[in-house]
Amino acid sequence: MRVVRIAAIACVLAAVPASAAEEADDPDNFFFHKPGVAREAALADWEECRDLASAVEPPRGPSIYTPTVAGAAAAGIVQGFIRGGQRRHMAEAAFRKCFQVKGYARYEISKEEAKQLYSGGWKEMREKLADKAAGPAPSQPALVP
Amino acid sequence: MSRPMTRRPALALLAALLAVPAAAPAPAAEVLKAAPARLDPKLAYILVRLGKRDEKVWNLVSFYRYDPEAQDLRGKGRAKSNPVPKGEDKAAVIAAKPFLVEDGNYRIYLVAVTPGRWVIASSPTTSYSLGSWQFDAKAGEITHVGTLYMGPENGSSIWPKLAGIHSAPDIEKRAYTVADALLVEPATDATPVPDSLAAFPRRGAELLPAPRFGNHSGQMINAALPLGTVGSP
Repeated sequence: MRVVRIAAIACVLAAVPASAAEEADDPDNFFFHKPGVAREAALADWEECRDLASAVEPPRGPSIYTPTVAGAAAAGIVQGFIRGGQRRHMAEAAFRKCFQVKGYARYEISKEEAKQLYSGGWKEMREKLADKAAGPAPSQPALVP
Repeated sequence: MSRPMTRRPALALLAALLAVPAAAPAPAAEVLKAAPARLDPKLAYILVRLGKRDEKVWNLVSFYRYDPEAQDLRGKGRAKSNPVPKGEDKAAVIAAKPFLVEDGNYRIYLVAVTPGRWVIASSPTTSYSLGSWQFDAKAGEITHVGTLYMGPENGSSIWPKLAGIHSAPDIEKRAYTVADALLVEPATDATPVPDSLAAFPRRGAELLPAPRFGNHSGQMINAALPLGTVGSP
């Protein structure tokens, strides 16, 4: 379940799927909607939020001293893995903050809907996301931003 | 034979270069340790009071030169074609030290900068790319920005208005995903100013919305809160 959302955010960021999955108490799949927003405005908002969120970088931790080349390589791999996970979490949080500030609400969708929504290249995906953002108002309550 | 002949002009040229008095730029984007004896008419001075980040930690804020037309930091993103000329300040960073005065949960800072349009750009963790405040810092005078309060949106701030701001539980669970709130309390006659600065020309910053700029620092993002007051801790 969690994989879909992480992958979706990664797709939006770089149009490539991510592989990591982690536990969470937040719904796994969601979309953004804003009552009365024009489709063109929603497209622009998606572009801007994508730009801002894709720029986030986890803070660098202290260098780990290792006496051997193999140890240094292993430490680098571990640090890279940790930073990759951190970056995905930060990017998701940045996306949510961006849409929150722009007046959108966040709504849960099913895994199947999410797969369909967050599929294809960025150009195709953003059209679907803008349609959804400017489409009919969802009937379910909004999630915490 | 020829060496002394060629060395003499070189030494003379060096002496001539060293003798030129006013070519060196004045110290810039310098956070001052003490009030200056006089204001340099070529520089602007940003006066700002920072509220403590939490019980133990002082705050950090960065200012950046802003292009209000392109709505970006000068020389970056949409304002790439409008870089800050060489020798001028692009940014000014205020960290815990040096400061002019400490008073309880506040520290007051004075920064000498290149005159121009500046924006409050970022906190230790957050770029205010989604909306901040811009102002002009004019040469030969002190621009009083007021008081800045910054802290994570997870209820941990010592400042009541910031402490009331929370993020979603899954975001608060990971500290590195929590953005900082920023509240600017504009300078008023009641805002404390060190006695050592009282004689200098000073004006309250005219704070204008800076609608957006790129996330060039790679931090979390947020929008500054509306101008207001924060309440006592």
